[in-house]
Amino acid sequence: MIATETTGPAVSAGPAPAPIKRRRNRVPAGQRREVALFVGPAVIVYVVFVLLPVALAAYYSFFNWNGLGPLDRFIGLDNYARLLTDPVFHTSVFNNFFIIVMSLLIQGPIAILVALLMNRRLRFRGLLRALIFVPYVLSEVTAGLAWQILLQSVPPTRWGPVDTMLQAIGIQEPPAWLADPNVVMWTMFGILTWKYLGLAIILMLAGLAGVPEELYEAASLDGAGWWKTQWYITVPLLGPTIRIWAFLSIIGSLQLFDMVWIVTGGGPLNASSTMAVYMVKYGLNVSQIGFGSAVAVVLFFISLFIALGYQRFALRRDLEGSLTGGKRK
Amino acid sequence: MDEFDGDLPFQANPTSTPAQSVPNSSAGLLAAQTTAMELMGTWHRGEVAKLVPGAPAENPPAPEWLSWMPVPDIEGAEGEPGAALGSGDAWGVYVDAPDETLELLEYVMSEDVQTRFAATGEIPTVAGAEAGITDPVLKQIAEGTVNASLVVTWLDTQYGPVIGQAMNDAIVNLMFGSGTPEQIPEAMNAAAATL
Repeated sequence: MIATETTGPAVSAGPAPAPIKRRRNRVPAGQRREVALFVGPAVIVYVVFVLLPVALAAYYSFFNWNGLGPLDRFIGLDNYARLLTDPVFHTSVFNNFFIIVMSLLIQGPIAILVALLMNRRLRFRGLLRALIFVPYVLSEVTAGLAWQILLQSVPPTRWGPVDTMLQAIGIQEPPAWLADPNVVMWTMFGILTWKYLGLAIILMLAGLAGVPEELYEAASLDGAGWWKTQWYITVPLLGPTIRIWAFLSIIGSLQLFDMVWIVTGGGPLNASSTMAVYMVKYGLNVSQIGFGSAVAVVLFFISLFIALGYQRFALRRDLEGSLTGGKRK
Repeated sequence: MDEFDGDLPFQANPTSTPAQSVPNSSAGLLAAQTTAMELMGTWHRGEVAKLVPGAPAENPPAPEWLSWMPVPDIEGAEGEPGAALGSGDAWGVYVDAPDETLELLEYVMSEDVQTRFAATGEIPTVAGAEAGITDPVLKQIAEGTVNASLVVTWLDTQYGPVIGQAMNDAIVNLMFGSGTPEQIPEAMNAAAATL
């Protein structure tokens, strides 16, 4: 079958033709069935596996419940009161925000710089890109165990493989990477940077590919140097990519669980606990499902609040039209 | 704790030392003879034997230098002298289980079967079956249990996961953080209040 298309201007100019009186909801029945057929399964999955569990968690959080037997010990907001007064939970929230802030401040600039370097004509560029992306592809458990082994202390000395390498280049007293409560979150941030920087760089490279070459030519004709060109052309045009990366990074940092669980289990002395680790350790693992649900609800609202706020203020210009049905204010 | 003056008699980085299963665990440190002793339960012999460098994967023998003793009593301390902490394994039988289940358990718990069980390197739970133990370390462990005036299940097991977790956290805080002895029962009571 040959499709006949009429090409025309993407945006119709001039006065609109006489408005056709349209009534809403006047969609042909066949089309409605089609929509229901395509959207239905997704809606069912979303309701059953997203909305319903969220609602159930919120409900459970008002009970003292171990996950078995009837839900009959209603305790109101006690789980929330306990949670909000627990210093370990405070540490966990702080750690989540520590990872968010450090990721934005350190990973973002490094990713942009590396992407700028790799965007030039380099030898082995394909190989370099692949190597940088390898940590991201590795499973979290594999990467976590590898880092745990590299950073552990090995008998008979207290030094592990990483320490021994550092000593070979003159650093005689490396810190106790995983055992010192004051150091462990920096170690964790280092591991997370190693793991997720590849994704950030690949995203930035994709963003750079969308910057028109002519702008650089124009800038160079105007006599702009390399730094100025990057600052005034590349970075602003990379804006949408940076904002999306930052969004993914923030949400990922809030949900941080698996890497911490594998490498430290939240220790030592709960110094590397995150909200999700806290939820599993003091909710699921000790059969306090009601309390764990309260943690989940708090984590959910923090994430939702940040996500909506971010969309409202930071992503607005990127998403304009996509959420508002094309209507502009 | 104050007598140690911040210099605890532990290996380096004790807060990140696993208990067992891996070479840098406390059992592994002992197996590699880089530490003098560890606090360990009745499964001590098996854990250490398999972590000895170069040990065979199948039925590793206990190293000849390995030994086991109950935690010594403190003279004049409160409590029952000779009391011990230990495992509390038991058979659970469903109320409607058929009679054959009990017959099977009676067979499993017979002196003959338990003696042969002991010969495989395990500690029997039936009096008279200890004759089957050939390993000297296992003999020490079995004697420790037999001679104890009473055996209490590990406290974090005995009290259940919620109180047990709070107790363990508070003890680690006491030893390596800023916790005080008073905070241990406080934490346990607070945890008990959430049950």
